[in-house]
Amino acid sequence: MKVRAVTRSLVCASLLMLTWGILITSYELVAVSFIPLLFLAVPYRVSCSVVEAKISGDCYVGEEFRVDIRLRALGFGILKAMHELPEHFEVVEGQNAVARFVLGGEDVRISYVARPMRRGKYDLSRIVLEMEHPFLAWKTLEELRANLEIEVRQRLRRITRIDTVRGVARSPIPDVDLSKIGVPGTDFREIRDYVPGDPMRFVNWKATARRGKLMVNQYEVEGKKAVWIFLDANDYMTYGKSVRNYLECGIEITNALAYHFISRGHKVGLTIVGNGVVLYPDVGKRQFKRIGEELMRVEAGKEDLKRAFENCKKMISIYKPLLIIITRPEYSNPMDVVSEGMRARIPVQIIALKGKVEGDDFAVRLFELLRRSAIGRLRRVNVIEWDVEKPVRRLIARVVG
Amino acid sequence: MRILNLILAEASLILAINVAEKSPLAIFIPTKLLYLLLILPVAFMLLRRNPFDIPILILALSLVTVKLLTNSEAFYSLLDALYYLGYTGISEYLNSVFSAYKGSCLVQLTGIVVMFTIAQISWRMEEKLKELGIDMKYPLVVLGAVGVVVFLFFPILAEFRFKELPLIFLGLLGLCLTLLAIYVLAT
Repeated sequence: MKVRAVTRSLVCASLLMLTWGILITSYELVAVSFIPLLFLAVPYRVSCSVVEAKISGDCYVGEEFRVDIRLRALGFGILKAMHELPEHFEVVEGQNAVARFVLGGEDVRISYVARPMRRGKYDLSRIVLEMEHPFLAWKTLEELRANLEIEVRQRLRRITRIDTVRGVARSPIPDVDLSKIGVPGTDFREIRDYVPGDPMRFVNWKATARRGKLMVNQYEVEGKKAVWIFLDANDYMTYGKSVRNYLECGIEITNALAYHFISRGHKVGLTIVGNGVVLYPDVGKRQFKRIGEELMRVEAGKEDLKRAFENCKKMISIYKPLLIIITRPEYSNPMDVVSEGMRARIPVQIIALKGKVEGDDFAVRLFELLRRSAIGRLRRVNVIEWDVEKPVRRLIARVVG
Repeated sequence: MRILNLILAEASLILAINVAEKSPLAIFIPTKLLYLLLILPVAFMLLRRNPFDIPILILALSLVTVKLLTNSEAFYSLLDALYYLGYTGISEYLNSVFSAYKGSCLVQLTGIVVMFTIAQISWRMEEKLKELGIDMKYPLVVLGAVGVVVFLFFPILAEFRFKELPLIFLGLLGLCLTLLAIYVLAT
Protein backbone atom coordinates (compact mmCIF):
# COMPACT_ATOMS: atom_id res chain seq x y z
CA MET A 1 0.00 0.00 0.00
CA LYS A 2 1.31 3.42 -0.91
CA VAL A 3 1.38 5.76 2.10
CA ARG A 4 0.55 9.38 1.38
CA ALA A 5 3.20 12.02 2.14
CA VAL A 6 0.96 13.77 4.66
CA THR A 7 0.20 10.51 6.48
CA ARG A 8 3.89 9.60 6.57
CA SER A 9 4.97 12.96 7.98
CA LEU A 10 2.24 12.98 10.67
CA VAL A 11 2.92 9.40 11.72
CA CYS A 12 6.67 10.18 11.88
CA ALA A 13 6.03 13.24 14.06
CA SER A 14 3.72 11.19 16.28
CA LEU A 15 6.30 8.42 16.72
CA LEU A 16 9.01 10.99 17.45
CA MET A 17 6.97 12.57 20.24
CA LEU A 18 5.94 9.19 21.62
CA THR A 19 9.56 7.97 21.80
CA TRP A 20 10.72 11.26 23.27
CA GLY A 21 7.92 11.15 25.85
CA ILE A 22 8.72 7.57 26.87
CA LEU A 23 12.44 8.36 27.18
CA ILE A 24 11.87 11.28 29.53
CA THR A 25 8.79 9.63 31.11
CA SER A 26 6.62 12.60 30.29
CA TYR A 27 2.89 11.88 30.38
CA GLU A 28 2.14 15.18 28.57
CA LEU A 29 4.42 14.43 25.64
CA VAL A 30 3.05 10.88 25.28
CA ALA A 31 -0.48 12.30 25.36
CA VAL A 32 0.12 14.97 22.67
CA SER A 33 1.81 12.41 20.42
CA PHE A 34 -1.72 11.17 19.59
CA ILE A 35 -2.88 14.56 18.26
CA PRO A 36 -1.57 14.08 14.67
CA LEU A 37 -3.28 10.68 14.61
CA LEU A 38 -6.57 12.33 15.65
CA PHE A 39 -6.43 14.43 12.48
CA LEU A 40 -5.84 11.31 10.41
CA ALA A 41 -8.76 9.58 12.12
CA VAL A 42 -11.32 12.24 11.14
CA PRO A 43 -14.10 10.15 9.57
CA TYR A 44 -15.13 10.73 5.99
CA ARG A 45 -17.79 9.29 3.76
CA VAL A 46 -19.24 10.38 0.44
CA SER A 47 -22.15 8.55 -1.15
CA CYS A 48 -22.89 9.19 -4.78
CA SER A 49 -25.77 8.46 -7.14
CA VAL A 50 -26.38 9.09 -10.83
CA VAL A 51 -29.14 11.63 -11.43
CA GLU A 52 -28.87 11.82 -15.19
CA ALA A 53 -26.58 10.40 -17.88
CA LYS A 54 -26.92 10.95 -21.59
CA ILE A 55 -24.96 10.86 -24.83
CA SER A 56 -25.86 13.26 -27.61
CA GLY A 57 -24.59 13.37 -31.17
CA ASP A 58 -23.99 10.74 -33.84
CA CYS A 59 -21.53 8.02 -33.06
CA TYR A 60 -19.30 7.54 -36.05
CA VAL A 61 -15.59 6.90 -36.17
CA GLY A 62 -13.69 10.19 -35.99
CA GLU A 63 -16.79 12.23 -35.21
CA GLU A 64 -17.51 13.96 -31.93
CA PHE A 65 -20.24 13.21 -29.43
CA ARG A 66 -21.14 14.81 -26.10
CA VAL A 67 -21.48 13.09 -22.74
CA ASP A 68 -23.39 14.70 -19.87
CA ILE A 69 -23.51 13.02 -16.48
CA ARG A 70 -25.04 14.54 -13.38
CA LEU A 71 -24.20 13.04 -10.00
CA ARG A 72 -25.54 13.79 -6.53
CA ALA A 73 -22.91 13.52 -3.80
CA LEU A 74 -23.72 13.48 -0.11
CA GLY A 75 -21.31 13.34 2.81
CA PHE A 76 -17.97 14.73 3.83
CA GLY A 77 -14.68 14.43 1.99
CA ILE A 78 -13.06 14.97 -1.38
CA LEU A 79 -14.77 13.27 -4.28
CA LYS A 80 -13.02 12.49 -7.55
CA ALA A 81 -15.31 11.11 -10.23
CA MET A 82 -14.03 9.83 -13.55
CA HIS A 83 -16.13 8.56 -16.41
CA GLU A 84 -14.04 5.76 -17.82
CA LEU A 85 -13.54 5.74 -21.58
CA PRO A 86 -12.18 2.88 -23.69
CA GLU A 87 -8.66 3.32 -25.03
CA HIS A 88 -9.84 4.16 -28.55
CA PHE A 89 -11.62 7.32 -27.41
CA GLU A 90 -10.07 10.74 -27.07
CA VAL A 91 -11.47 13.66 -25.12
CA VAL A 92 -11.72 16.72 -27.36
CA GLU A 93 -13.36 19.29 -25.12
CA GLY A 94 -13.89 19.42 -21.36
CA GLN A 95 -12.77 16.68 -18.99
CA ASN A 96 -14.10 13.25 -18.18
CA ALA A 97 -12.96 13.62 -14.57
CA VAL A 98 -13.97 16.11 -11.89
CA ALA A 99 -13.01 16.67 -8.27
CA ARG A 100 -15.09 18.36 -5.58
CA PHE A 101 -14.80 19.03 -1.87
CA VAL A 102 -18.10 17.69 -0.54
CA LEU A 103 -19.54 19.06 2.66
CA GLY A 104 -23.17 18.07 2.98
CA GLY A 105 -24.71 17.83 -0.49
CA GLU A 106 -23.17 18.71 -3.83
CA ASP A 107 -24.19 18.40 -7.49
CA VAL A 108 -21.33 17.09 -9.59
CA ARG A 109 -21.48 17.41 -13.36
CA ILE A 110 -19.21 15.61 -15.82
CA SER A 111 -19.57 17.12 -19.26
CA TYR A 112 -17.20 16.61 -22.16
CA VAL A 113 -16.92 16.02 -25.87
CA ALA A 114 -15.12 12.89 -27.04
CA ARG A 115 -14.19 11.30 -30.33
CA PRO A 116 -14.16 7.53 -30.96
CA MET A 117 -11.30 6.37 -33.14
CA ARG A 118 -12.42 2.81 -33.70
CA ARG A 119 -15.70 1.09 -34.54
CA GLY A 120 -17.40 -1.19 -32.08
CA LYS A 121 -20.01 -1.47 -29.39
CA TYR A 122 -18.80 0.06 -26.15
CA ASP A 123 -20.12 -0.04 -22.65
CA LEU A 124 -19.60 3.42 -21.15
CA SER A 125 -21.46 2.79 -17.93
CA ARG A 126 -18.46 2.75 -15.56
CA ILE A 127 -17.86 5.80 -13.38
CA VAL A 128 -14.89 5.42 -11.06
CA LEU A 129 -15.25 7.26 -7.75
CA GLU A 130 -12.30 8.04 -5.56
CA MET A 131 -13.29 9.24 -2.11
CA GLU A 132 -10.47 11.01 -0.35
CA HIS A 133 -10.02 11.91 3.27
CA PRO A 134 -10.63 15.69 3.68
CA PHE A 135 -6.96 16.09 4.62
CA LEU A 136 -5.82 13.73 1.82
CA ALA A 137 -4.62 11.09 4.26
CA TRP A 138 -6.48 8.08 2.84
CA LYS A 139 -8.67 7.21 -0.08
CA THR A 140 -11.20 4.58 -1.03
CA LEU A 141 -12.31 3.49 -4.46
CA GLU A 142 -15.84 2.79 -5.56
CA GLU A 143 -17.67 2.29 -8.78
CA LEU A 144 -20.94 3.65 -10.09
CA ARG A 145 -22.93 2.46 -13.07
CA ALA A 146 -24.72 4.81 -15.43
CA ASN A 147 -26.86 3.43 -18.18
CA LEU A 148 -24.66 4.42 -21.11
CA GLU A 149 -23.84 2.41 -24.20
CA ILE A 150 -22.54 3.51 -27.54
CA GLU A 151 -22.32 1.89 -30.94
CA VAL A 152 -19.60 3.43 -33.05
CA ARG A 153 -19.94 2.85 -36.77
CA GLN A 154 -17.89 3.69 -39.79
CA ARG A 155 -19.30 6.69 -41.62
CA LEU A 156 -20.46 5.53 -45.06
CA ARG A 157 -18.43 7.02 -47.88
CA ARG A 158 -21.21 7.70 -50.35
CA ILE A 159 -20.35 8.19 -53.96
CA THR A 160 -21.90 11.44 -55.03
CA ARG A 161 -21.03 11.33 -58.75
CA ILE A 162 -19.40 8.88 -61.13
CA ASP A 163 -18.51 10.09 -64.62
CA THR A 164 -19.68 7.80 -67.42
CA VAL A 165 -16.76 7.64 -69.81
CA ARG A 166 -16.80 5.29 -72.80
CA GLY A 167 -13.97 2.80 -72.90
CA VAL A 168 -12.81 -0.52 -71.59
CA ALA A 169 -14.46 -1.24 -68.26
CA ARG A 170 -12.03 -1.32 -65.38
CA SER A 171 -14.47 -3.09 -63.16
CA PRO A 172 -15.55 -6.66 -63.93
CA ILE A 173 -19.02 -5.86 -62.60
CA PRO A 174 -21.11 -3.64 -64.82
CA ASP A 175 -24.11 -2.23 -63.03
CA VAL A 176 -26.43 -4.02 -65.46
CA ASP A 177 -24.96 -7.50 -64.92
CA LEU A 178 -27.70 -9.92 -63.98
CA SER A 179 -27.94 -12.54 -61.29
CA LYS A 180 -27.42 -16.22 -61.97
CA ILE A 181 -30.06 -17.36 -59.53
CA GLY A 182 -33.29 -15.84 -58.33
CA VAL A 183 -36.93 -15.48 -59.32
CA PRO A 184 -37.40 -15.94 -63.09
CA GLY A 185 -38.65 -12.83 -64.87
CA THR A 186 -40.37 -12.44 -68.25
CA ASP A 187 -37.29 -11.84 -70.45
CA PHE A 188 -36.56 -14.94 -72.54
CA ARG A 189 -32.96 -16.16 -72.49
CA GLU A 190 -32.80 -19.65 -74.12
CA ILE A 191 -34.36 -23.11 -74.52
CA ARG A 192 -32.64 -25.90 -72.59
CA ASP A 193 -33.15 -29.52 -71.54
CA TYR A 194 -35.66 -30.21 -68.81
CA VAL A 195 -34.20 -30.96 -65.39
CA PRO A 196 -36.25 -32.36 -62.52
CA GLY A 197 -37.75 -29.51 -60.53
CA ASP A 198 -38.42 -27.20 -63.48
CA PRO A 199 -42.01 -25.88 -63.38
CA MET A 200 -44.30 -27.49 -65.96
CA ARG A 201 -45.49 -24.06 -67.14
CA PHE A 202 -41.99 -23.41 -68.55
CA VAL A 203 -42.09 -26.52 -70.81
CA ASN A 204 -41.81 -25.50 -74.45
CA TRP A 205 -44.10 -28.09 -76.10
CA LYS A 206 -43.19 -27.20 -79.68
CA ALA A 207 -39.47 -27.64 -79.06
CA THR A 208 -40.21 -30.84 -77.10
CA ALA A 209 -42.12 -32.26 -80.04
CA ARG A 210 -39.32 -31.34 -82.44
CA ARG A 211 -36.48 -32.76 -80.32
CA GLY A 212 -38.34 -35.73 -78.86
CA LYS A 213 -37.36 -34.85 -75.29
CA LEU A 214 -38.62 -32.39 -72.74
CA MET A 215 -37.36 -28.86 -73.35
CA VAL A 216 -38.04 -25.83 -71.20
CA ASN A 217 -37.83 -22.06 -71.67
CA GLN A 218 -35.16 -20.34 -69.61
CA TYR A 219 -35.95 -16.78 -68.51
CA GLU A 220 -33.64 -14.14 -67.13
CA VAL A 221 -33.91 -14.10 -63.36
CA GLU A 222 -34.79 -10.91 -61.57
CA GLY A 223 -32.17 -9.06 -59.63
CA LYS A 224 -28.62 -8.08 -60.23
CA LYS A 225 -25.42 -9.96 -59.95
CA ALA A 226 -24.20 -10.97 -56.52
CA VAL A 227 -21.07 -9.52 -54.95
CA TRP A 228 -19.09 -11.51 -52.40
CA ILE A 229 -16.57 -9.60 -50.33
CA PHE A 230 -13.69 -11.42 -48.67
CA LEU A 231 -12.25 -9.27 -45.92
CA ASP A 232 -8.92 -10.51 -44.67
CA ALA A 233 -8.79 -10.12 -40.87
CA ASN A 234 -5.63 -12.07 -40.18
CA ASP A 235 -3.05 -10.89 -37.65
CA TYR A 236 -0.84 -9.24 -40.26
CA MET A 237 -3.69 -6.86 -41.13
CA THR A 238 -3.38 -5.11 -37.76
CA TYR A 239 0.04 -3.66 -38.57
CA GLY A 240 0.08 0.08 -37.95
CA LYS A 241 -1.71 2.29 -35.46
CA SER A 242 -4.55 0.76 -33.47
CA VAL A 243 -6.97 3.36 -34.82
CA ARG A 244 -5.82 3.29 -38.44
CA ASN A 245 -4.33 0.10 -39.79
CA TYR A 246 -4.88 -2.29 -42.68
CA LEU A 247 -7.78 -3.99 -40.93
CA GLU A 248 -9.59 -0.75 -40.05
CA CYS A 249 -9.12 0.47 -43.62
CA GLY A 250 -10.41 -2.87 -44.93
CA ILE A 251 -13.48 -2.64 -42.71
CA GLU A 252 -14.18 0.86 -43.95
CA ILE A 253 -13.88 -0.27 -47.57
CA THR A 254 -16.10 -3.31 -46.96
CA ASN A 255 -18.75 -1.17 -45.30
CA ALA A 256 -18.75 1.36 -48.12
CA LEU A 257 -18.82 -1.30 -50.85
CA ALA A 258 -21.62 -3.22 -49.13
CA TYR A 259 -23.69 -0.06 -48.90
CA HIS A 260 -22.99 0.84 -52.53
CA PHE A 261 -23.95 -2.54 -53.96
CA ILE A 262 -26.93 -3.17 -51.68
CA SER A 263 -28.38 0.26 -52.39
CA ARG A 264 -28.19 -0.62 -56.11
CA GLY A 265 -30.09 -3.86 -55.69
CA HIS A 266 -27.17 -6.32 -55.73
CA LYS A 267 -26.98 -9.31 -53.45
CA VAL A 268 -23.98 -8.91 -51.20
CA GLY A 269 -22.23 -11.66 -49.27
CA LEU A 270 -19.38 -11.37 -46.80
CA THR A 271 -16.64 -13.63 -45.54
CA ILE A 272 -14.38 -12.40 -42.78
CA VAL A 273 -11.20 -14.41 -43.15
CA GLY A 274 -9.69 -14.93 -39.73
CA ASN A 275 -12.97 -14.82 -37.82
CA GLY A 276 -14.74 -17.64 -39.69
CA VAL A 277 -17.72 -15.39 -40.37
CA VAL A 278 -19.75 -16.10 -43.53
CA LEU A 279 -22.84 -14.19 -44.61
CA TYR A 280 -24.44 -15.60 -47.77
CA PRO A 281 -25.48 -13.11 -50.45
CA ASP A 282 -28.75 -11.38 -49.88
CA VAL A 283 -30.37 -8.08 -50.73
CA GLY A 284 -31.88 -5.26 -48.73
CA LYS A 285 -31.35 -3.17 -45.66
CA ARG A 286 -31.44 -6.14 -43.31
CA GLN A 287 -28.46 -7.67 -45.07
CA PHE A 288 -26.59 -4.39 -44.81
CA LYS A 289 -27.42 -4.25 -41.10
CA ARG A 290 -26.16 -7.81 -40.67
CA ILE A 291 -22.93 -6.92 -42.46
CA GLY A 292 -22.54 -3.79 -40.33
CA GLU A 293 -22.98 -5.78 -37.13
CA GLU A 294 -20.40 -8.34 -38.20
CA LEU A 295 -17.95 -5.59 -39.13
CA MET A 296 -18.37 -4.05 -35.68
CA ARG A 297 -17.22 -7.28 -34.09
CA VAL A 298 -14.20 -7.93 -36.27
CA GLU A 299 -11.03 -8.78 -34.39
CA ALA A 300 -7.78 -10.05 -35.85
CA GLY A 301 -7.53 -13.85 -36.08
CA LYS A 302 -5.81 -16.61 -38.00
CA GLU A 303 -7.29 -18.35 -41.03
CA ASP A 304 -6.03 -19.31 -44.45
CA LEU A 305 -7.64 -17.37 -47.32
CA LYS A 306 -7.83 -20.53 -49.43
CA ARG A 307 -9.55 -22.45 -46.66
CA ALA A 308 -12.08 -19.63 -46.21
CA PHE A 309 -12.74 -19.74 -49.97
CA GLU A 310 -13.17 -23.54 -49.87
CA ASN A 311 -15.80 -23.14 -47.14
CA CYS A 312 -17.92 -20.94 -49.39
CA LYS A 313 -17.06 -22.62 -52.69
CA LYS A 314 -20.41 -24.37 -53.09
CA MET A 315 -22.41 -21.19 -52.68
CA ILE A 316 -19.98 -19.25 -54.87
CA SER A 317 -20.47 -21.76 -57.70
CA ILE A 318 -24.25 -21.26 -57.42
CA TYR A 319 -24.26 -17.48 -57.29
CA LYS A 320 -21.30 -16.86 -59.61
CA PRO A 321 -20.72 -13.54 -57.84
CA LEU A 322 -18.07 -10.91 -58.29
CA LEU A 323 -15.42 -11.73 -55.73
CA ILE A 324 -13.81 -8.75 -54.07
CA ILE A 325 -10.85 -9.74 -51.91
CA ILE A 326 -9.51 -7.08 -49.56
CA THR A 327 -6.14 -8.23 -48.34
CA ARG A 328 -2.37 -7.84 -48.26
CA PRO A 329 -1.36 -10.18 -51.11
CA GLU A 330 2.26 -10.41 -49.92
CA TYR A 331 1.00 -12.29 -46.86
CA SER A 332 -2.26 -13.95 -47.91
CA ASN A 333 -1.08 -15.22 -51.32
CA PRO A 334 -4.50 -15.16 -53.05
CA MET A 335 -3.17 -16.83 -56.26
CA ASP A 336 -4.90 -20.17 -55.53
CA VAL A 337 -8.24 -18.45 -54.95
CA VAL A 338 -7.81 -16.40 -58.13
CA SER A 339 -7.01 -19.53 -60.19
CA GLU A 340 -10.03 -21.40 -58.86
CA GLY A 341 -12.23 -18.38 -59.46
CA MET A 342 -11.01 -18.01 -63.04
CA ARG A 343 -11.48 -21.71 -63.69
CA ALA A 344 -15.10 -21.34 -62.58
CA ARG A 345 -15.42 -18.15 -64.68
CA ILE A 346 -15.98 -16.01 -61.64
CA PRO A 347 -14.75 -12.43 -61.88
CA VAL A 348 -12.25 -11.57 -59.18
CA GLN A 349 -11.13 -8.17 -58.00
CA ILE A 350 -8.37 -7.72 -55.47
CA ILE A 351 -7.93 -4.63 -53.35
CA ALA A 352 -4.30 -4.83 -52.26
CA LEU A 353 -3.75 -2.64 -49.24
CA LYS A 354 -0.41 -1.00 -48.75
CA GLY A 355 0.95 1.29 -46.11
CA LYS A 356 4.08 2.90 -44.82
CA VAL A 357 6.62 0.35 -43.64
CA GLU A 358 9.00 1.35 -40.86
CA GLY A 359 12.55 0.04 -40.78
CA ASP A 360 15.95 0.54 -42.34
CA ASP A 361 16.19 1.31 -46.04
CA PHE A 362 17.33 -2.11 -47.14
CA ALA A 363 14.53 -3.91 -45.30
CA VAL A 364 11.92 -1.51 -46.65
CA ARG A 365 13.17 -1.98 -50.22
CA LEU A 366 13.25 -5.74 -49.86
CA PHE A 367 9.72 -5.76 -48.50
CA GLU A 368 8.57 -3.54 -51.36
CA LEU A 369 10.15 -5.95 -53.88
CA LEU A 370 8.36 -8.91 -52.31
CA ARG A 371 5.10 -7.01 -52.35
CA ARG A 372 5.54 -6.04 -56.01
CA SER A 373 6.34 -9.64 -56.88
CA ALA A 374 3.18 -10.87 -55.11
CA ILE A 375 1.08 -8.33 -56.97
CA GLY A 376 2.83 -9.15 -60.24
CA ARG A 377 1.70 -12.76 -59.94
CA LEU A 378 -1.88 -11.51 -59.84
CA ARG A 379 -1.70 -9.71 -63.20
CA ARG A 380 -4.49 -11.89 -64.65
CA VAL A 381 -7.06 -10.29 -62.38
CA ASN A 382 -8.04 -6.76 -61.63
CA VAL A 383 -5.84 -5.50 -58.78
CA ILE A 384 -6.27 -2.13 -57.17
CA GLU A 385 -3.43 -1.08 -54.89
CA TRP A 386 -4.57 1.20 -52.14
CA ASP A 387 -2.69 3.17 -49.50
CA VAL A 388 -4.44 2.80 -46.14
CA GLU A 389 -3.80 6.44 -45.29
CA LYS A 390 -5.75 7.70 -48.30
CA PRO A 391 -9.48 8.46 -48.02
CA VAL A 392 -11.62 5.49 -49.00
CA ARG A 393 -14.08 7.58 -51.03
CA ARG A 394 -11.76 7.69 -54.02
CA LEU A 395 -11.14 3.96 -53.91
CA ILE A 396 -14.86 3.19 -54.12
CA ALA A 397 -15.11 5.27 -57.26
CA ARG A 398 -12.29 3.17 -58.76
CA VAL A 399 -13.83 -0.14 -57.76
CA VAL A 400 -17.26 0.58 -59.15
CA GLY A 401 -16.32 3.10 -61.82
CA MET B 1 0.22 28.74 2.36
CA ARG B 2 3.82 29.71 3.13
CA ILE B 3 2.59 32.76 5.06
CA LEU B 4 0.07 30.69 7.06
CA ASN B 5 2.73 28.13 7.92
CA LEU B 6 5.19 30.90 8.82
CA ILE B 7 2.65 32.43 11.21
CA LEU B 8 1.94 29.03 12.76
CA ALA B 9 5.67 28.29 13.14
CA GLU B 10 6.36 31.67 14.76
CA ALA B 11 3.38 31.26 17.12
CA SER B 12 4.61 27.78 18.13
CA LEU B 13 8.12 29.01 18.79
CA ILE B 14 6.79 31.93 20.87
CA LEU B 15 4.71 29.45 22.91
CA ALA B 16 7.76 27.19 23.37
CA ILE B 17 9.96 30.16 24.40
CA ASN B 18 7.29 31.28 26.90
CA VAL B 19 7.36 27.79 28.42
CA ALA B 20 11.18 27.87 28.43
CA GLU B 21 11.13 31.26 30.22
CA LYS B 22 9.14 29.68 33.05
CA SER B 23 11.44 26.65 33.22
CA PRO B 24 14.85 26.02 34.85
CA LEU B 25 16.41 26.96 31.50
CA ALA B 26 15.93 30.64 32.44
CA ILE B 27 18.50 30.17 35.21
CA PHE B 28 21.20 28.86 32.89
CA ILE B 29 20.81 31.03 29.74
CA PRO B 30 19.37 34.50 29.06
CA THR B 31 15.93 33.67 27.60
CA LYS B 32 15.80 36.86 25.53
CA LEU B 33 18.41 35.26 23.29
CA LEU B 34 15.94 32.47 22.50
CA TYR B 35 13.85 34.95 20.50
CA LEU B 36 16.62 34.83 17.88
CA LEU B 37 15.29 31.37 17.03
CA LEU B 38 12.29 33.07 15.42
CA ILE B 39 14.50 33.75 12.40
CA LEU B 40 14.61 30.02 11.60
CA PRO B 41 11.11 29.67 10.05
CA VAL B 42 11.82 32.75 7.90
CA ALA B 43 15.07 31.15 6.76
CA PHE B 44 13.18 27.94 5.93
CA MET B 45 10.72 29.92 3.89
CA LEU B 46 13.51 31.72 2.01
CA LEU B 47 15.02 28.33 1.26
CA ARG B 48 11.64 27.35 -0.26
CA ARG B 49 11.03 24.75 2.44
CA ASN B 50 7.98 24.34 4.62
CA PRO B 51 8.47 27.04 7.34
CA PHE B 52 7.02 24.64 9.92
CA ASP B 53 8.83 21.42 9.15
CA ILE B 54 9.95 18.62 11.50
CA PRO B 55 13.22 20.44 12.54
CA ILE B 56 11.18 23.39 13.87
CA LEU B 57 8.96 20.97 15.80
CA ILE B 58 12.06 19.30 17.28
CA LEU B 59 13.37 22.73 18.28
CA ALA B 60 10.08 23.69 19.94
CA LEU B 61 9.89 20.34 21.74
CA SER B 62 13.50 20.77 22.95
CA LEU B 63 12.59 24.11 24.52
CA VAL B 64 9.54 22.60 26.21
CA THR B 65 11.45 19.51 27.34
CA VAL B 66 13.30 21.45 30.06
CA LYS B 67 9.92 22.21 31.61
CA LEU B 68 8.75 18.61 31.08
CA LEU B 69 11.83 17.35 32.98
CA THR B 70 10.52 18.96 36.16
CA ASN B 71 7.81 16.25 36.26
CA SER B 72 9.96 13.46 34.79
CA GLU B 73 10.55 10.36 36.90
CA ALA B 74 13.44 9.40 34.63
CA PHE B 75 15.16 12.73 35.28
CA TYR B 76 14.84 12.45 39.07
CA SER B 77 16.09 8.86 38.96
CA LEU B 78 19.11 10.17 37.05
CA LEU B 79 19.71 12.72 39.84
CA ASP B 80 19.43 9.86 42.37
CA ALA B 81 22.04 7.94 40.39
CA LEU B 82 24.38 10.97 40.45
CA TYR B 83 23.83 11.27 44.19
CA TYR B 84 24.62 7.57 44.68
CA LEU B 85 27.79 7.88 42.57
CA GLY B 86 29.08 10.61 44.83
CA TYR B 87 28.09 13.77 42.94
CA THR B 88 25.92 14.89 45.80
CA GLY B 89 26.47 18.62 45.30
CA ILE B 90 25.33 18.80 41.70
CA SER B 91 22.54 16.31 42.32
CA GLU B 92 21.09 18.32 45.22
CA TYR B 93 21.49 21.61 43.32
CA LEU B 94 19.65 20.33 40.22
CA ASN B 95 16.97 18.76 42.36
CA SER B 96 16.33 22.04 44.16
CA VAL B 97 16.23 24.01 40.89
CA PHE B 98 13.91 21.65 38.95
CA SER B 99 11.61 20.95 41.88
CA ALA B 100 10.92 24.67 42.21
CA TYR B 101 9.55 24.84 38.61
CA LYS B 102 7.19 21.84 38.79
CA GLY B 103 3.98 22.32 36.83
CA SER B 104 2.07 21.27 33.71
CA CYS B 105 2.50 22.74 30.20
CA LEU B 106 -0.03 20.48 28.45
CA VAL B 107 -2.03 23.36 26.95
CA GLN B 108 1.03 24.97 25.35
CA LEU B 109 2.27 21.58 24.12
CA THR B 110 -1.15 20.83 22.63
CA GLY B 111 -1.11 24.22 20.89
CA ILE B 112 2.33 23.54 19.39
CA VAL B 113 1.40 20.07 18.12
CA VAL B 114 -1.98 21.18 16.73
CA MET B 115 -0.33 24.04 14.84
CA PHE B 116 2.36 21.69 13.53
CA THR B 117 -0.27 19.25 12.30
CA ILE B 118 -2.30 21.99 10.60
CA ALA B 119 0.87 23.32 8.94
CA GLN B 120 1.89 19.88 7.66
CA ILE B 121 -1.55 19.04 6.28
CA SER B 122 -2.10 22.43 4.63
CA TRP B 123 1.39 22.34 3.07
CA ARG B 124 0.77 18.93 1.47
CA MET B 125 -2.82 19.76 0.54
CA GLU B 126 -2.07 22.94 -1.37
CA GLU B 127 -0.31 21.32 -4.30
CA LYS B 128 -2.67 18.36 -4.51
CA LEU B 129 -5.83 20.45 -4.41
CA LYS B 130 -4.44 22.83 -7.02
CA GLU B 131 -3.80 19.83 -9.23
CA LEU B 132 -7.39 18.67 -8.73
CA GLY B 133 -8.79 22.13 -9.34
CA ILE B 134 -10.41 22.36 -5.90
CA ASP B 135 -10.59 25.65 -4.02
CA MET B 136 -8.48 25.60 -0.82
CA LYS B 137 -11.00 27.68 1.13
CA TYR B 138 -13.36 24.97 2.42
CA PRO B 139 -10.74 22.33 3.25
CA LEU B 140 -8.78 24.97 5.20
CA VAL B 141 -11.86 26.04 7.14
CA VAL B 142 -12.57 22.39 8.03
CA LEU B 143 -8.92 21.86 9.01
CA GLY B 144 -8.97 24.96 11.20
CA ALA B 145 -12.23 23.88 12.83
CA VAL B 146 -10.85 20.41 13.64
CA GLY B 147 -7.69 22.07 15.01
CA VAL B 148 -9.74 24.37 17.31
CA VAL B 149 -11.85 21.43 18.57
CA VAL B 150 -8.73 19.37 19.33
CA PHE B 151 -7.03 22.34 21.03
CA LEU B 152 -10.09 23.03 23.21
CA PHE B 153 -10.99 19.49 24.22
CA PHE B 154 -7.74 17.52 24.14
CA PRO B 155 -6.26 19.03 27.35
CA ILE B 156 -9.53 18.31 29.17
CA LEU B 157 -9.49 14.72 27.94
CA ALA B 158 -5.78 14.28 28.70
CA GLU B 159 -6.11 15.57 32.25
CA PHE B 160 -9.10 13.36 32.99
CA ARG B 161 -8.32 11.29 36.05
CA PHE B 162 -8.61 7.75 34.73
CA LYS B 163 -6.96 6.48 37.91
CA GLU B 164 -10.02 7.42 39.93
CA LEU B 165 -12.39 5.34 37.80
CA PRO B 166 -13.45 1.82 38.96
CA LEU B 167 -11.21 -0.92 37.51
CA ILE B 168 -14.14 -2.81 35.97
CA PHE B 169 -15.04 0.27 33.93
CA LEU B 170 -11.45 0.68 32.72
CA GLY B 171 -11.37 -3.02 31.76
CA LEU B 172 -14.55 -2.67 29.71
CA LEU B 173 -13.22 0.49 28.07
CA GLY B 174 -10.01 -1.33 27.11
CA LEU B 175 -11.99 -4.24 25.67
CA CYS B 176 -14.20 -1.92 23.60
CA LEU B 177 -11.16 -0.07 22.25
CA THR B 178 -9.48 -3.37 21.31
CA LEU B 179 -12.60 -4.52 19.44
CA LEU B 180 -12.85 -1.13 17.71
CA ALA B 181 -9.19 -1.37 16.66
CA ILE B 182 -9.76 -4.89 15.24
CA TYR B 183 -12.79 -3.64 13.30
CA VAL B 184 -10.89 -0.63 11.91
CA LEU B 185 -7.93 -2.78 10.88
CA ALA B 186 -10.19 -5.39 9.28
CA THR B 187 -12.06 -2.84 7.19
